[in-house]
Amino acid sequence: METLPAIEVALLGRLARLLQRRAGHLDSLAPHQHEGAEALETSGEHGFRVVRSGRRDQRRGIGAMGGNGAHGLVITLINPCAIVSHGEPLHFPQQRVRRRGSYGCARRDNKLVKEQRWSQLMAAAQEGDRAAYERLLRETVPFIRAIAARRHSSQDRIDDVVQEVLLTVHRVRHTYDPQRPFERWLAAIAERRSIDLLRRRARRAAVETSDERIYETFPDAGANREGETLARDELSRAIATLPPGQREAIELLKLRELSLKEAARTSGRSIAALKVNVHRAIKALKARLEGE
Amino acid sequence: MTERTKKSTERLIERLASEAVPVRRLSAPALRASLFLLAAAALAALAIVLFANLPMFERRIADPKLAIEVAATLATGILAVLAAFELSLPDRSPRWALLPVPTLVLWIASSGYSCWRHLVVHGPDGWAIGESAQCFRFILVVSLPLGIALLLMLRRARAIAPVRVAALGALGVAALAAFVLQFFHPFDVTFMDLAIHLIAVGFVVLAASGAEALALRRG
Repeated sequence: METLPAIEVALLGRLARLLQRRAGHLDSLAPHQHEGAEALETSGEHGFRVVRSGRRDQRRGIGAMGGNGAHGLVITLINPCAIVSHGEPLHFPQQRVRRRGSYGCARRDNKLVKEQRWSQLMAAAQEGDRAAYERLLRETVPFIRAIAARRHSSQDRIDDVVQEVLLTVHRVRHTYDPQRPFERWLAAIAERRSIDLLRRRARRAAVETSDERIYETFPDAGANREGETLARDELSRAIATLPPGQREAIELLKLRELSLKEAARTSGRSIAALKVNVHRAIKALKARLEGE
Repeated sequence: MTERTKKSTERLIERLASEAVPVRRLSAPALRASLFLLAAAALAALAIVLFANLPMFERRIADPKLAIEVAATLATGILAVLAAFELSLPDRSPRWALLPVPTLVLWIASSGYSCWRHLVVHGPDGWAIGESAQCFRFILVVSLPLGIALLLMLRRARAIAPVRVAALGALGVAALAAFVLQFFHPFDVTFMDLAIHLIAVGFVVLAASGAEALALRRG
């Protein structure tokens, strides 16, 4: 079994008791090794390492194991799955383990088995075993989806990434070395393709624009402007109902887009009067158009 | 996953599985890099024996500063080629790209120092373009066949991030070309010469990565 990165176990009372109770049955330990704290110092081969520690750990409730109350013990899990009692992996209550990786013995064990299986399937696929290849691709889809989902939120895009990744895996399958972890190889491809899709979208977004109305169009260009014409007519009618001063101000300043000075010269009114009129006109138009 | 995409993924998997012919695994990248470097070394050795002015090179290499510069150039070439082979595989750490950086810095620094010394000794003449145009041509001409050979070898991996690989490969061949150039270089380098060497190397790197990026965008 490969050695996993060591994780610290917060030796909360329950875990300590659990280990203590089971220590007599740990297959990986010789009987004399758990008689006292000194004897419990073991190497990592057994899946964990037990060393004596000072009082500090004791205060944290790192319990008296091996009947030696004067010394606390620190247990470092090297590989929880290798700790075997009565032929079964020893189960660690997950909530008691301060995790520095994804642990939980059963889960980790499954993961290792899966990793080995994928690696074997890929090796078989490289030899031309189609059934193995098909099974591998099917099994890896959720894994690829999970990686794609880190960068993409829409289901469509995640599916695009999945398909791109499957195609890439097919194209570069000769680069996989069965001596190396398969998941890392696949994850690197999935990661890269997710980023590629993001970049492609950004590039496309820079030169394209989306206009939904573009799909609602008629061959006759005039027909497409129907909405615009209606709005314009409505506005003209509303303007026609304004008092003459306001109508003139709107026509000069907003429709003909003259400056205040020019409008004042043309109409012979003062700039202040024009401003007041245009303000009132807009208010009236707004009320009228919204009211309809 | 919607029903429709689920089906299309299923169909894709079936199609890929039906096309799964046996493939030959790539050998270890270090091995492939060594093969390339050996072939390049054999060619370079032939050219050097046939055409180089060896006594002149021996005289120049006696200067430890030049020796450092030449060694750094060679090391940059070798490490960049190795890094390119490693990075052509999907699961290699991007940190491989940093492999040639220390020697590249040493190369630039040591030849920069030589140039500065040259400038101090020769004054404004140090700015003159020596026979640099020839050097530029040399680096390009040597880089081209080496680069094509390397590209052909690297392409077998069908790198998933090809621009990076092309840039490193190009740095490798350009540095190797600059190393071989030292055997044909009868004079000390001036500022302009250094600039020309580096521009040539940069040109090769940019051309290769640009071509690769373009191919990627189209593909």
